[in-house]
Amino acid sequence: MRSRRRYLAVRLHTKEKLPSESTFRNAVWQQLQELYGELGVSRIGFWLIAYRQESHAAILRCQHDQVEPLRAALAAMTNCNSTPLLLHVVGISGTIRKAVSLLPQLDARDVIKPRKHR
Amino acid sequence: MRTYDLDVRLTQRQSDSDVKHFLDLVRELEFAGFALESSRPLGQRFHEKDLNIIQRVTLTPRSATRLRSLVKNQRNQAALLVIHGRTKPVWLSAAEIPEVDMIMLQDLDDFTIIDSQISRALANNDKPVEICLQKLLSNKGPARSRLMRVMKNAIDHLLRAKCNLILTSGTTDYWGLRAPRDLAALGYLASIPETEAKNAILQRPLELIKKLQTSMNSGSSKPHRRKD
Repeated sequence: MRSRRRYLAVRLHTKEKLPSESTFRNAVWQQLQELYGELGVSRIGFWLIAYRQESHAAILRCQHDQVEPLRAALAAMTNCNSTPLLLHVVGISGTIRKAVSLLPQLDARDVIKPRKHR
Repeated sequence: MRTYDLDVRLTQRQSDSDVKHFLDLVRELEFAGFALESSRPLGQRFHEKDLNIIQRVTLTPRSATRLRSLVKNQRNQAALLVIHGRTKPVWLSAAEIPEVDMIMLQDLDDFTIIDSQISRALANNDKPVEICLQKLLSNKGPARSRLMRVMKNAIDHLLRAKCNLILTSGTTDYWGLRAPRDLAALGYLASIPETEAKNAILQRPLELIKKLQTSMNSGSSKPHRRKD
């Protein structure tokens, strides 16, 4: 059976230019590992779905029952690569489409890939 | 529901543009206002039409006797009077003084002192307990791990006694502020149940502000008032 997931729409505040996608992903990963360890991270099922530097927005995925641990870890993040960073979870949704709609600065066509018809 | 962060500690050195930047973030995170730590009346730059900014004074007395004299002196200066105890006799006395609005827990030592006796005293006197989450953000590694453990013990005592918890950010600048729901999520790290954490940031600060406004209107104390 396909596992249920939740998508977190996140707005990023920073003084300087936002870090690259891989730097941001690693910073979140490291934060989760510090707080919950490898076993905890595996249960959370974190994945970075979309990250747009120019729009200061990101969409993160986790298991439906692990929203609170992920949200806590994001709130506890204070910097990324020594740059002060503030993450604000704008909303949570069960679909990527809805999560994108929570961030008006994101272009839905850019994030949601069209289905391949066989 | 728009709520309040009852512990903001911007320094007087912050420039006007820093303050403006901070206030913009407060609006974006959908706060109705905040309590600003200040021993002097709030300046003109904190008089905003769409935000309710109140003055807060935190007292850290060394003894219970000193606590009473400090409260007597400071009560009329601040809209929100908070006690940061540090010793058990001070916590117990603070719980019984009606002029004290709230008790603050912040450091490792504060959480270590909290036991069932203090918790019962706070609950019986209906005294709200502020859990400042600033140290959870600033500490890392073993220090944060130890803090989370003692916070869990203290919060277990407080919740068993049915104390009213209030979560605050204790921020000193723009980067320490968190949205209300994100603050509630931080409560997860301190083992606060989700519904309790939501109440502690979305409901209780509003109730306390309402209570303060009622007491201001009835004239039982003369705290700082905003000039509208």
